[in-house]
Amino acid sequence: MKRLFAVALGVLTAIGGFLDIGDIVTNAVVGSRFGWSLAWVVVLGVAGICVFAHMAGKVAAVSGRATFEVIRERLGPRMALANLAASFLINLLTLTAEVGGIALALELASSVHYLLWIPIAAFAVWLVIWRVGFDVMENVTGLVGLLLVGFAVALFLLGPDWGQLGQQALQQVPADESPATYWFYAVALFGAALTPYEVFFFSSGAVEEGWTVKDLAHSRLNVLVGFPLGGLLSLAIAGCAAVVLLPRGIQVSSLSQVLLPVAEAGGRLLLVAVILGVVAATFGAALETTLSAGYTLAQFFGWTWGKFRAPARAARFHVTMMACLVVGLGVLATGVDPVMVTEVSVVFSAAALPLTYLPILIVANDPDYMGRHVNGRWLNAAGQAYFGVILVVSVAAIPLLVATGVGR
Amino acid sequence: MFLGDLLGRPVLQSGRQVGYLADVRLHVPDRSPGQRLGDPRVYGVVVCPRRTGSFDGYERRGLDAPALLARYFRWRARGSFLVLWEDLAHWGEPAVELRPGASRWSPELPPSGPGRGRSPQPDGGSVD
Repeated sequence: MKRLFAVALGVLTAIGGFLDIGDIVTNAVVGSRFGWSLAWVVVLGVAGICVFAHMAGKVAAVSGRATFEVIRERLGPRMALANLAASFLINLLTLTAEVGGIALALELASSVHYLLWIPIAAFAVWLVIWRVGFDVMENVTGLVGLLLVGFAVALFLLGPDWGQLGQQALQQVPADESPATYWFYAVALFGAALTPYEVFFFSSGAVEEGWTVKDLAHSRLNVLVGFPLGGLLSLAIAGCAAVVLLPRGIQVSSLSQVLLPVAEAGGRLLLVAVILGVVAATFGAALETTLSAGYTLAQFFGWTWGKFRAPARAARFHVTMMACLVVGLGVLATGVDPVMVTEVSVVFSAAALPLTYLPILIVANDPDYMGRHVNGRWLNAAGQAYFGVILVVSVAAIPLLVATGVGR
Repeated sequence: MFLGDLLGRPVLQSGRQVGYLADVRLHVPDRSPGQRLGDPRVYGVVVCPRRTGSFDGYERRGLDAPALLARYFRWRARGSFLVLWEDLAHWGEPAVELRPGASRWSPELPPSGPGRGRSPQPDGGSVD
């Protein structure tokens, strides 16, 4: 019974923890402009994160090494440093977007301007990292994040024409959009589903929680059940926007517009639940990105790291995280639109993906690290196919960003 | 001299350039006299015809997964060979020079596990 509870808890937190500000905003933007015609990208991206997270979790559980320790060992100092610089900066951008997301959600809940919420949000993130245990942190944000199921409830309450949504899913570029913006948003959605920090956090979390080979089955279940169900919520967000916003020609540029369909379908109660879900999801992701900043730097330089250690025993790890929160705070204090930061961050995430994906794919095949747990034939077939996709997405990301002026 | 400075240097033999120095091979004996652990000893260098850099671990025999990547890394390092340290005539600036009669050995490493660290075997033919 206790074991069943642990398994259920793991899957539920994986669902609730799957979505972050990048998924919420990008899916809503895409839904309001393209309907469900980019739904295939969500499916592709979710399957990709399953492959990637599964391999990274396996490497962490078997070899005891988190992602950046593997990168540092395997690529050598010079290549790994270039990798670190790119991954660290992009993670910082994502961190900034997540803190902005918490503040935007709190603004909706309180009518207090989001800029006033930003320092409070950043302080709360720091406090949780400093004081709260890893399990409690992950479970609470994951379970409250499950309130985002409200998007799926809203979609059903809206009583959409499923045939029309299905038709959108099969149709390609809508008539009034250019192919460049269509593909730009395809890249953005892929980047939102497959963000590098998720893997830094997942693999480092495996080390934090002391996973061993025995935990592999459990971790596989979390990934293979939890992430796809989280992906369904992504589709629900896009679906809500497609049903309510697309026909009226409303293009999403703020979080309040993302939540408009929920208010229309379910009234105040559902809206409150979903806002709470957004706060939890962005707060959880802010914690994960902040920790990832500490993880990547500490693992590269060989510093003592881990939340399971007292802060005084992992001082540089904690100082890194504080500094990153301060930088994120500084960026947001300039008044830059957090939604814009989010859209840019998912595209850069997509561009940087091969840097972390390739070393994991290689090491997951290395018997020196993995013994008899090296990748099987099917996992390698999927792993290599995704490497091809990731390469194409990575090369296309920045040119599409420039060519479309961030999809405008 | 730092060993790392050697990496990437052009390699000459009889005045002709044969490639770039891609890797340095060390042997660590179990123990050295008067020491608890062995002192590493450089036993050879790997020369690649192109500026390829690292082999990404695929210099180990029997490592052929994932298939496409393994094939790509092997292809990128094609024509590479190992030269024993005593076959180097000169290793300062600006290039590394091989003795005219230097033997070219297979750059492959034995697979992981027992037998690791044995001396290299001749590859039974010259490269190119």
